Amino acid sequence: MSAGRRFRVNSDFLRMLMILAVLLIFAGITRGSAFMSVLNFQTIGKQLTEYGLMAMGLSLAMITGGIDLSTVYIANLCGASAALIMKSIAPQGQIWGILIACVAALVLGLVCGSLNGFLVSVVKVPPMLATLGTYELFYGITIVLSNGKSITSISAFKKFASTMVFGVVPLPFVIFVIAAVILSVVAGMTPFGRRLHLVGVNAKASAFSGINNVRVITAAYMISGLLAAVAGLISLSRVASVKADFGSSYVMMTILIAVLGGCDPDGGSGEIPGVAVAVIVLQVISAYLNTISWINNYYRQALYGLLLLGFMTYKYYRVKRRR
Amino acid sequence: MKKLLGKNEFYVALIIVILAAFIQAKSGLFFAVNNIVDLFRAITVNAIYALCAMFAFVSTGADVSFPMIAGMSTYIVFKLGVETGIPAVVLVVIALVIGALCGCVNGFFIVKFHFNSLIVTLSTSSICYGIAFGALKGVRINVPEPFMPFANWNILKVTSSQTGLGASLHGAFIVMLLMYLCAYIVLNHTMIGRAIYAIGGDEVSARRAGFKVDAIRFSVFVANGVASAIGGLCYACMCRNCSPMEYYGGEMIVIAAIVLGGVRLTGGHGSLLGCFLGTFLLGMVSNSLTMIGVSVYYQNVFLGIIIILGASIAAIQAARSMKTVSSSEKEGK
Repeated sequence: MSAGRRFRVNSDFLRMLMILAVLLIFAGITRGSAFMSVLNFQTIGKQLTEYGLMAMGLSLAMITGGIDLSTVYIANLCGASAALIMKSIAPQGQIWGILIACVAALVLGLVCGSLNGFLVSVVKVPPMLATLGTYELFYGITIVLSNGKSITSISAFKKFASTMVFGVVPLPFVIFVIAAVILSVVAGMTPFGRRLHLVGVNAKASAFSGINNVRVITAAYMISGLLAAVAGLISLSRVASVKADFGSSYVMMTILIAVLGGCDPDGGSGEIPGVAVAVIVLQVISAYLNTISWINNYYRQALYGLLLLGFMTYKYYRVKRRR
Repeated sequence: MKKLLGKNEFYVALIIVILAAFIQAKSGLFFAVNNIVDLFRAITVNAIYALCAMFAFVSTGADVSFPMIAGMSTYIVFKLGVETGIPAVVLVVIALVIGALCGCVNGFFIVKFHFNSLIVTLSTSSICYGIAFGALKGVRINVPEPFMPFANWNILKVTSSQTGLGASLHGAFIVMLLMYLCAYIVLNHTMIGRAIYAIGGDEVSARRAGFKVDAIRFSVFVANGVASAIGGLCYACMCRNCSPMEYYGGEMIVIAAIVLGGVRLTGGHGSLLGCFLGTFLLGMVSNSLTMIGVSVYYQNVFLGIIIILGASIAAIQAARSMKTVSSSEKEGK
């Protein structure tokens, strides 16, 4: 079993890597130096972090057989609270004030996530509905906090997203990579990760084999909330403001990424490395489309939809052939 | 009496009555004619969408594509109507056909490959969005000439004696009632209706009992596409213009409404009355909260809390009824 499993993990991950390589070569040939510039890759690295983190959180929820629709609004709520705290206690950009605001935002993310987890695992509300309700709730709270307007952040916090590690790699991308590595290890190699998958395959069986389903599911949603909070902080720093409905199209994107990366929407299978590469693939596609003037942003949505259907169909036939 | 207490619809109706009494007591304006008429006008389109959401959940699972199917099909025929002046009947048929085609796409992927319906309908929704905005530019257009009679059709005009405010009920309300009538007949008096519940309750048993599971599922999604197109046309004619952006994101509130009304996300359960009452309750919350001095900003917070509470109660009830079923089975043995 474990040998078969490892093989499949690698194939999902490798397939995504191959697609990425092909894409890069294709983009390099057709767009040349305009695409293959350091600046372009820096932009790609900066932009993908926000929804990349949320996609990985959603993947964890999906592995347990659920879904987390509320990530984007957790991110906005955490971003808005952080901005308000910073403004009130550290208007001149004192480091300790910024740190307190960030920690508060992360804790808030965990709290939001645990509310999701509680509803799904203890009350047993269907995940889609539970996170739909909390999405509305978090969205509402953000509107109340911001009076429906956008909240600007303090200028000192802008440095966070524009910092370049070693002078070339954007800090957000580094955070994304670190998160991807940690989550890959946690979900792929630890007992917790195995439980996560077991709960998704068959919740009843996992409960009978002594796994505390409530704890596992709650943890998955809490991690998702935490990642969303980090995403919220990064977008607060990058855009320098936060609004209740910022990034609502990310909901669709995160689901697309999770499925592209190999997660089964019905639960039980999915690995983080595949998801992480899928994030990069999607951002590269998006950046490539940006260089073509006659394709406007809206086509992107249609393309994502087609990609999702196409990829699922492809996978269906691949699995069928193997059987 | 016991039967009544076990029903979700009863509780929703109770909440509606209590909330109405509360708003009336605080503001004295809830039962003003214009408010009631306004409320019915406001929920007309969502009540139509609620049918789509309910049929999907009862038979298969989530359908989140209806707002964008509605938006795209309406936008296309409005554009056609403004540019060419084709008669209204033809335009309506075109809209319904577009809706049906989108429904076919949903049905095909769900039936043929057994994909999760949430993911499939999310994709088609995205594709419709892309077509409406990318390919067709998606700007706001006014009602084309052929639709004018329908857009102007008000069945009821009232003025409140208390405030002097007027309100009118649009003809789309009749369309909505007719659709509920059709749905009622299909669900309660035909084999197809039985099949829809049976499939959602237990697919394998339904198949063994001889229901054509795939065909029925497929036709549910096609019917959903058609119903969405009707809803979209009604909405645009009520507003006298069509902007696809206004449809975007409308699915969540509808799903919340029908779940409050007792439709189970796991399938097989749900009634038209519950559907309508749920929609009415949420319509009330978003329409009347300002009357008791709650700021508009709190609207989403209230919606969220109502959805979470409603869903939690439904989940706890479902768990309890599962328990009674299994314990009575044991007693039987």
